[in-house]
Amino acid sequence: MDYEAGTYQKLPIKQYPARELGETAEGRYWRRFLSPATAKQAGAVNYLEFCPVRPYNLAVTSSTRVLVYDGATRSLHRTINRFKDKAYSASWRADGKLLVAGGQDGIVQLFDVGSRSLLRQFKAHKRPVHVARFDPGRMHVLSGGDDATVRWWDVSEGKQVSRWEGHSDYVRAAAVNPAAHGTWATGGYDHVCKVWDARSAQSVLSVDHGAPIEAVAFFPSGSVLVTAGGTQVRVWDLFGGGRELACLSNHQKTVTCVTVSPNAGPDSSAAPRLLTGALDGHLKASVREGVYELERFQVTHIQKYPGPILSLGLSGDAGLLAVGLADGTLTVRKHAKPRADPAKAGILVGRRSRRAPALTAATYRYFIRGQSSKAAAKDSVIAAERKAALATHDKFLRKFRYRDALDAALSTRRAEVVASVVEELAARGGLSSALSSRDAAGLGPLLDHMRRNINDPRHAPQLAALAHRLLDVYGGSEALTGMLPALTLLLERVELELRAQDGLTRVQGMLGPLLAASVGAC
Amino acid sequence: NGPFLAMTQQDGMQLRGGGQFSARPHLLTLDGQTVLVCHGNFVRAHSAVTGEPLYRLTGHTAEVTAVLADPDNAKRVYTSSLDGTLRHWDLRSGLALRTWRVPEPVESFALGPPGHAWLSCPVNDASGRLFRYDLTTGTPGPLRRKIASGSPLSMGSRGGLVATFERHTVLVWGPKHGPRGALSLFHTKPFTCVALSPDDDTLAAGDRSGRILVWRGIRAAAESAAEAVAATGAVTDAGRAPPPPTGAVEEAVEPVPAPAPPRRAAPPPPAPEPATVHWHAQAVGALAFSADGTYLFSGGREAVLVVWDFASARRTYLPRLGGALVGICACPADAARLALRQADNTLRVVNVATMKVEASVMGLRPVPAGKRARPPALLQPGTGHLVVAGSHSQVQFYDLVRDAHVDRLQLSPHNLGGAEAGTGPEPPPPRVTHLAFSADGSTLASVEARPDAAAGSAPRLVPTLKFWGRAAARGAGAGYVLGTRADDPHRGDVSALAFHPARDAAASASLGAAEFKLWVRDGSAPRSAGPEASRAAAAAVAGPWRCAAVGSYALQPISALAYSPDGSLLVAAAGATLTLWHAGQARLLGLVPPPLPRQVNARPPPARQVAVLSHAALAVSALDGGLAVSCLLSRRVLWAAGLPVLGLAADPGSSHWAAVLGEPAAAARGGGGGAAGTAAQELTVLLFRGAERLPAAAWQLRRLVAAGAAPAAPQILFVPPGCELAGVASGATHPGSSPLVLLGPDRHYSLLRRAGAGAGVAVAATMTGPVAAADVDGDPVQSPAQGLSAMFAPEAAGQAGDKSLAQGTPLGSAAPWATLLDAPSHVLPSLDALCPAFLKLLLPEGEVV
Repeated sequence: MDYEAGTYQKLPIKQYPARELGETAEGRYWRRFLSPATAKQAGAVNYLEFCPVRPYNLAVTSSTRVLVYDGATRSLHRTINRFKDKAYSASWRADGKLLVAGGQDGIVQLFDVGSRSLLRQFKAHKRPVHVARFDPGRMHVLSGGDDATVRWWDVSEGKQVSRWEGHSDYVRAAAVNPAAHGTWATGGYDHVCKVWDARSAQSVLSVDHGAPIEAVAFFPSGSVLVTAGGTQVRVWDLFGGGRELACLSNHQKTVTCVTVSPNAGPDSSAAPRLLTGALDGHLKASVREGVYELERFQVTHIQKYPGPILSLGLSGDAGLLAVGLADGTLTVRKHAKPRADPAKAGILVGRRSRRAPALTAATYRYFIRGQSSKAAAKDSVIAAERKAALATHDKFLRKFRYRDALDAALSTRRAEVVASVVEELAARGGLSSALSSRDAAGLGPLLDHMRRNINDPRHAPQLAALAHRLLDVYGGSEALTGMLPALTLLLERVELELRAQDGLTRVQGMLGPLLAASVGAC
Repeated sequence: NGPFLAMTQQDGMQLRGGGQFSARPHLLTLDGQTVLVCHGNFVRAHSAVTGEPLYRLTGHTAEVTAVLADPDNAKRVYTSSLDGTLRHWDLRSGLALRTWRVPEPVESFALGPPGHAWLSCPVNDASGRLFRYDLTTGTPGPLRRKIASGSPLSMGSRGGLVATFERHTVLVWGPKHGPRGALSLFHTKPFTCVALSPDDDTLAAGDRSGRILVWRGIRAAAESAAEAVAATGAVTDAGRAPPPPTGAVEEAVEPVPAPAPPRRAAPPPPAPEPATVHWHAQAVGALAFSADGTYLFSGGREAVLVVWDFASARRTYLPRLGGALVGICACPADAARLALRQADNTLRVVNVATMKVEASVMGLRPVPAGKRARPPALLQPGTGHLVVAGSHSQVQFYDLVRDAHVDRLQLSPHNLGGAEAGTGPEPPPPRVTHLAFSADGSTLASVEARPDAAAGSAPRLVPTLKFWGRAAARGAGAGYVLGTRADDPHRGDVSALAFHPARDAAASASLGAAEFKLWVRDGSAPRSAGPEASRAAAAAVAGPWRCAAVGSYALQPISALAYSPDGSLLVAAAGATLTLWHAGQARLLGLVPPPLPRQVNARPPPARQVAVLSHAALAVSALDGGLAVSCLLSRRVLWAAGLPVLGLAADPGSSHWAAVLGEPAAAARGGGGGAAGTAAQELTVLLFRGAERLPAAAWQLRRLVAAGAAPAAPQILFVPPGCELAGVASGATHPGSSPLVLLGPDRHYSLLRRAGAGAGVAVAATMTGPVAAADVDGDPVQSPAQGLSAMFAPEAAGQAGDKSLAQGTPLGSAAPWATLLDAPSHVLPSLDALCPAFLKLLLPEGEVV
């Protein structure tokens, strides 16, 4: 059990306990929706929808316009402004070629996206139409208006097929069952969500949400319906005759939009995700866990937006997340690792079969032949001397090159590696030589590391000590002037942290008497 | 083919061992098969191939100071000792062939011309004498010189030059003229070591600044210097002529011829100029030449062996040997093999051709240098191995039964001498401050202090709490793997660490933060820590630990912690008060107020150590200058006594507990046999049972320390049940109690032997120290220590008088009423018992009719 004297012992990298919040796989997944692209619209973004086919263009309805953004570049692609009044609910056909939109004037209009030309106009609603959707069969359009009617149109003829009566107030939400295409769910301000059969134009089921319904959505199985309205989101089991599975009250204000995505979420836990947005500016992702009988919806991630959320959408490959706010801001975030295209998943790329080249001295393989073959049973094997693979900072530490070791640790951009190396240098007394005689460029990575991590309570004490030391070494020197922008940024971070601490102290001060009073009351 | 000498490890019932063997020169025998080291009163032999212990040479009655090979016979060695003898040993039989009685202790010796030896003997602390000794007749020769005490001698070829050094001077002399005609080589820095090449041509000396000075042609220079001295008829430097020796030694010295008046002669030939080479950043610790004289080996505090090749003027290194090098011995048979002696009690045989360590012998690690008096030491549950903290944040597992190293655990990486010269002061070395084992030994908790990254001359030592889990089935070794670490758990110091006796829970406390924290292991599945399977397995053993609760009492600094053996209670010493907490939550259950101090208005002393006894609801606390036994059920102090307590321990298997008492060393007693300036320190170990005030057994120990030194605390450890050590020691101590191990501050250990039949208090054991000279075993103590008599006198009186009064009476109260009223209110006896006693005291005796 004795150790090998004379061999270099690797520097053990510090490991920190998992943080209580936000370090789940789910949290990491949602945080990887990065690089937000924002665009300011003329009015509130009341609806947005991703095109079902690549490259997942985005149709945004705002004020009197419908804007189409390119899914690949996230830049404006088309603008349709053929509306006399406010446009509502521009929705894609399944092939991504046509758009249907309602409007304040009660006219449902059909556009060709490529040419932006108006193809059809359906005029029957007496009141504004807030919801219009294509049937997945491509030949019909459903629209719901503030005249409390739902109408079913034929695209080729341009005529109304049927009128569905049953709602007693504005109809504001509609969704088609992805598993049974003839089945639609509509929700209205009469608190009722009705499920219709398009063939018979009859309501087959109705459930009472208890608040004006703003949005409805189906789970991919088609058996679970989600209704959102008021501050609650309710989940219904359609096969169970409209049994309420769950009532989620996670929002503070009215929930305005709800989306179910089968593809979102990390690889480790594959379950459909339910995304809800509300007027309180929070976007919450919930995951449905468990088997059918044991429904449990857990909020797995929360994102805060600087205004009331009116609409949200997630592209088919879960690579783009778009959120529209009441102040007209549209934010599109891109995930670092989108899913493979579900449409292409089944197609295998044909592989070329390669013939093994002849083993002659003209090829490189000839010279490495036999190197990977296994030893026979009677062969005597000499074990190769295993050379410990050392990290770059370990190599420099071994050679007592302290400054290079610190640079190597900084270049990994891993805070725990830097923390371990700095601790080791402090214990060896090599910190001053690692820090000294650097110019502004040499100090850049170090200051950058400080700026990124000085708010982290796991690294703050060490980095504060390091910053003091740095200022001691470079106080009044020429390198300090080069460091000034970085130092200013560092100062801002520290001030931010101090403000946060100040706020926490205040909260603690407020809580103290309350807790004392409650303890006293017990 | 040599006979095997039985190792006498068990001396009767008393197991002894430990101690330092790296302080004195060692020897690699001529055949290169055996390493001999001086270890106390004997010489230990280890195999140079495997490091196994082979045999011991026993016979010296004081510390062995040097061992030298007999150049005529590869199987024979010479040794010298402080008992004033030289011995010639046969390694095959292990017997002393011949013994020479030199009338004074020998510090170092070298072999001169055939039949002669040069001896260096200390006279007092500062000075010593150097003379030739005739081995055939056994008489000291005429050639002598005064030198500094403790100067080690170094020899070149057989019968050739001999060199030694004083502070700034190296002395070299040949056999013909002796040390009085020695060549003196001066240097501005103090020398630390010297070596002569085997052909007597080259002399190398290392100094404190790390430079090595090399003189060539030293034989010719030494001869011409001696000729010059002989020509002038006097010593060259008249001021350095030895004054007439004084004292008892004087009789043995032949009259020194009166120095002739200095003549105006030709000036002495100039000393040859040295070549200086410099690699070591700190003092050179050891120097040696290879057998053929072409290589010079040097080592120092950097733990790097440097090989200097003079022919090609190149250096090669063997780094990271783990401890400061203090001795190098080359093998005459194999030029590539060296035996290195390190300050951390380690002996290594290295091969400089392959640059590999071939064998290592590890002794019990010495106490790390520094101000802290009590590095943690404890016995591992299950195995009974002694676990001690060494320097460089290492923890060593040591088998007491076999006196052998088992394993080591590096708590955090540490490189010796890593500081660059000229970049400010060297940071303080990391140190281990606390260790604790779970009841089954599967988890080890450690606290170590390392310097932080802050600038300044005095970096703060940041404590780090670490939990180590044992990977399953690693055999005898420790096999602990890091599970969880918590940096700076209290934002300040850590004063105590305790492990729950049954559950996976621990507690740590802090003085500065005035709080304690309860740590529990999470039941959740451990995070996958890495690709390595071993790490994952260890993580499964040592799951993540987290802080479950924080507690504090009245912002009092918490100085000690102890769990009750049943695991229901946590006792924390908050200031002078003992606070009782629920072991699972930080919920205060009760308080035990401190015993009343002797002076009115004095602050009660805080407790330094607390232990809760098993099978009894009693807590024992060691205060500053006192002991207190408290009942946890009635929450009152049962009795307290003012005693110089150095430490205490509670038996895990019975209600016994033990305390070590010690006073600062008094002035030297006559006839101790040691050098001047030392004093005997009296230490007493008392074994108590439960709340009884009379100790069940006592041991009186004496050791020699520097006069006036603060008492260095030995540690007492109860042997955990079920281990091999408990089997060896069964019946060794008091009946019903677990055996006691005493670990001295010099890391000598011994098992305390059981008292003789019927002897209540008076049993003595000894502890061998580096300067030896201890009491004989079994000598009963007639007069106990001062504090003891003060303590037990009232008890003897109390047996005759009122028992309820004597109980709970603080010591040292003078006035008759003070014995009544000094007691704290919570220990006052009932009014029924108090009133008659008070009246009896008030009324003068004899006047009552």
